[in-house]
Amino acid sequence: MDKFLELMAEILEVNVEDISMDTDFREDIEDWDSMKGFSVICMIEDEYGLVIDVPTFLKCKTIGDLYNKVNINE
Amino acid sequence: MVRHPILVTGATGGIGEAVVRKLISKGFSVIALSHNREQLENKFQGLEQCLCIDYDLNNIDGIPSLIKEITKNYGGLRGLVHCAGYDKLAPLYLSRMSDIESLFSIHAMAAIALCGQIAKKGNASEGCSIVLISSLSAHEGAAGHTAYAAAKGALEGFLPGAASELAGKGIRINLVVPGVVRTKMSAGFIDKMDEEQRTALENSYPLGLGEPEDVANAIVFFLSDEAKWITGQKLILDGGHMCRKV
Repeated sequence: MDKFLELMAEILEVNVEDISMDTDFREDIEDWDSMKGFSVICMIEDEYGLVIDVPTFLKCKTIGDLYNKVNINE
Repeated sequence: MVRHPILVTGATGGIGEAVVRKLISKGFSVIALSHNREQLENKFQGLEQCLCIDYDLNNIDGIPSLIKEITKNYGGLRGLVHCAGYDKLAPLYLSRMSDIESLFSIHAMAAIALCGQIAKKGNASEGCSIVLISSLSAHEGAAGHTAYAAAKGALEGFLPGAASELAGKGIRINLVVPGVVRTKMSAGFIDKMDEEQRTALENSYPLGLGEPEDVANAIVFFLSDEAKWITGQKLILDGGHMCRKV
């Protein structure tokens, strides 16, 4: 979970202490944009070998949703 | 029998496969090269005039031996199409040096190394023609594709000097600049778009997104003797994207 938060913090350009599993990444991150969305999908593919489709990604509101949806086991 | 073949790298990719099939239909001998042996066999095994070679172009140091072996067995090359490559979607602030190096290696360094070997005496047959593949991303703001675009830009910078040197050897070299073409590679980023983004992309191509055959047709023209007076040129293939109404 810590690794996932660190990877998300890098993409979102925030300190890892400033986000949690409850962070709504589209609403709570001031400069959220589609490029960050692409980057999240790519990160999940690269780091966890999981392909997450766009509709599934769009259903995820929080970082925790994302983490649970892709069923990551670190 | 394969004799004086045209070497097509990245032959199992969308554009590479279309080029191989088009060249064979036009009666050329072809060497289809890819790092993926299984796909090479699935796609091309049994095709007349086509020889498959399993080689990973990340091994740039091995390229001189590769070309030497090919020319020893099949005669000087009639041409080269360098289709090998891939894209790595990443915003600039997340770009990793290992990815940047890898993109430059396959798109630019491998291409330059191959051209260098073809330039050696005896490695090119009469009418030899080289076609490199750039990308429209090197011409317009393609966010998320900076390293890929830069590697393609390196190829475009290589072109005039190479054309100048190769012309004296009777070798032509040209370059095509495709926009978005429906391939497995482009699906890598199109599939990550939502419906609105996908529609906007498609609407920015008045003649529709490209098909691999659209690019292969232009490449085969550059390889043919019909283009015997053309060298050092870039041809944009973009379905009207650059001249669309805005």
